[in-house]
Amino acid sequence: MIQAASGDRAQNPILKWLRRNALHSIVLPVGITIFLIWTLFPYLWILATSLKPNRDIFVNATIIPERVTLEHYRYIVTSSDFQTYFRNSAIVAITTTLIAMLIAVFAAYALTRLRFIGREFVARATIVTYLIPASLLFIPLFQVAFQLKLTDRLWGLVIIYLIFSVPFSTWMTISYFNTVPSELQDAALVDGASRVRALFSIFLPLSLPALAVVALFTFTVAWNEFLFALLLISRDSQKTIPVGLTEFVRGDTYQWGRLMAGSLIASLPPVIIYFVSQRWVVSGLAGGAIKG
Amino acid sequence: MHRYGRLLTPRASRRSILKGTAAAGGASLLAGSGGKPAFSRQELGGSLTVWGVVSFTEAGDELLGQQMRDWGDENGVEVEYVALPGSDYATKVATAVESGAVPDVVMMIADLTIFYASQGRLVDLSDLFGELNQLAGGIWPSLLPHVQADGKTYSIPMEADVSVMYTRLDLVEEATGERTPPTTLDELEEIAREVTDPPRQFGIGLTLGRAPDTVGQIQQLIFADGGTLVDESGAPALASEGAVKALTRVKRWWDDGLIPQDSPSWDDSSNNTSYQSYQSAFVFNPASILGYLEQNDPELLEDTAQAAFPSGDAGAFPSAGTWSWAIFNDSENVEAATELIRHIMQPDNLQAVYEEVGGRWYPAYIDLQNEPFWAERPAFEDFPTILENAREPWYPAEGTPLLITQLSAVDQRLILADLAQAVTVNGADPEQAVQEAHDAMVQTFEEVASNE
Repeated sequence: MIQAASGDRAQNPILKWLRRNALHSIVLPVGITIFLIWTLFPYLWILATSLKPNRDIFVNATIIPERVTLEHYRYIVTSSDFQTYFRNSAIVAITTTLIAMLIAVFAAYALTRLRFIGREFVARATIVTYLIPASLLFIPLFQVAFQLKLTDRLWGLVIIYLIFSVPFSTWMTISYFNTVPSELQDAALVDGASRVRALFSIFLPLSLPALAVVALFTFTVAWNEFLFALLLISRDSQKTIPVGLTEFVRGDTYQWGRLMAGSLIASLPPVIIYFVSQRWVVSGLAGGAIKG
Repeated sequence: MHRYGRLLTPRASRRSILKGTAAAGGASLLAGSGGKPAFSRQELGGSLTVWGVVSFTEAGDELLGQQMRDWGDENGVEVEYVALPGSDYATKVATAVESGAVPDVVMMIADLTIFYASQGRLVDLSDLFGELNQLAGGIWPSLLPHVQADGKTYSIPMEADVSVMYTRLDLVEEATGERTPPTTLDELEEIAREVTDPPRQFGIGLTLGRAPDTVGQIQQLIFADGGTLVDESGAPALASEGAVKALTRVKRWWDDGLIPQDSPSWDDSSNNTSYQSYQSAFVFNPASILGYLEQNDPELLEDTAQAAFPSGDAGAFPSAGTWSWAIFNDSENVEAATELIRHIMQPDNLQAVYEEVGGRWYPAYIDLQNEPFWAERPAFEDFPTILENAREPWYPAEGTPLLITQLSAVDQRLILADLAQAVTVNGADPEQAVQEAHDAMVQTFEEVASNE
């Protein structure tokens, strides 16, 4: 009897279906749903807060606003300096990203494909500089920036950000360039290509995923950086978004609606860039992690 | 029309006035008020950078900046006023000082004045203070210990930072039948027991997080119950019957559920949030909540009073601080910086700024309390009493630079906040917890003294 019962269970089509499809049909959707809620909840809360009138932010702590207002967005766009901050952040982040990539590509090529004394040392020193915490450097860097008259200038921020982003970008690019077979370059050189041509025609096309990661990393760091932007910039006309947003905190009074509206707008560029370059980023991260 | 008398804000310092007067051979002079010297029309020239903390309204910052620029235009000085976020202000000032890139005029908050004065970095403004103190009834004496050291004045108070007890009058009325804030901590506790209705409503919105607000509130409770932080010689004296009594009170409030359960995670803005979201019947805060209520919640404003901190067994000893204007020695234009401060400290100029700031900055000058903006608003009626009774943290000792630096270190290490959390969250015995906090204070005092 017992054997017969277990035989029935084995034949039960529902159990069989469950056994075959449990992972794809139940575990994955449920898991992804939980993950999505977990991940998106803060953004939904930010969105909800940015759409509530001030009183409702405190009195009706709900995810769905009872009353909706665009007043915080209107204020941000038309009555504050937010547009200036946004433009400044864009200038700083894009410039930093382009320069960091340019330096990283040439440095990585030299460190992976050229033979010269001290190559290993330079490669290791590159990453060591990245490991020094910014909090230890801010007073000396401020002094240097002040002496060079780089305070209250967007160029000052770009130069400071390059100090932190170039080492990581170079290291990441080195990791990826190391995976490019040397035979490809050798063949190109035999065919008469110069090293620069080999770099642009062979290494760069093959390294697009890594370059996407480097660009994204550098852009995000420059876009979000607060400490140096706070210390180096005082004038409203030169402030970037992270510092500009602090104007909505006045003493112990937080203007939550404006803060959330500003934060939401500020988060859009990195999010859009992530979406656009998603495929490259995933393979670039994997490449850097596994092949380095 | 200057109702409070006016010291002319000259186009030159008194030294250059004398020079100018001699050179001009009796050129026309403007008569100063109150027997003050007359001034020439000589331009000061140069440029000034001024750093301040953002006020509570953009209009307030704008007007303050405009007053400075107007003065600059009249005197041939290019003035730039930069209003910076308060949360990272001390860091920004410290970085500028360490780098030798200090602005000419700096707004000092908390006890930054004494800190930098003790390092010999500030210009002695005693003469200017002596003149300004003759205007509008003079500056509240309770603010002066925060700006004076060794008999000299190193910064000029521009506002009084007063902490009050926000009271939900509708809830008080429910409990007592009267719309009158409690005047003693025992009455406060009694009403809190009546109105507490967890999880939505709590009686006492006491901050218990690791935040400066907690330090200030626990300090006031300790004073109210007869304790002090130091003795007359300036040595740590926290381990006292009064402090134990205060912490026993806090522990009882917490154990009996009168304090919001999330209070141990609060920061300095959380008591604002608690009151504005109708969670707490009483919170202890500067006047910033009033500004929010006036703009966003007239209903709650109608049921709100700003009252003095209630008395404990030893009395009521509220705290008051000040934001003030100082000049660093590194300034290349001390003369113009001094005159700029003289200009923005004129009572009429200040009152105009106060009104734009919406009441969050209470007047530094005593007689400005009689301005209709203050006198006709019941919300501010207790402020003069609070300022008269305010007690500085180093009471009963004299506020020497060393002692103030030591107490600042105690504040920065949040020793009193940790003490509050020990007796509430950790359930420690108040006597033992107070002793441990006292020991931590002693250690901090020794470390600071050894670094001097």
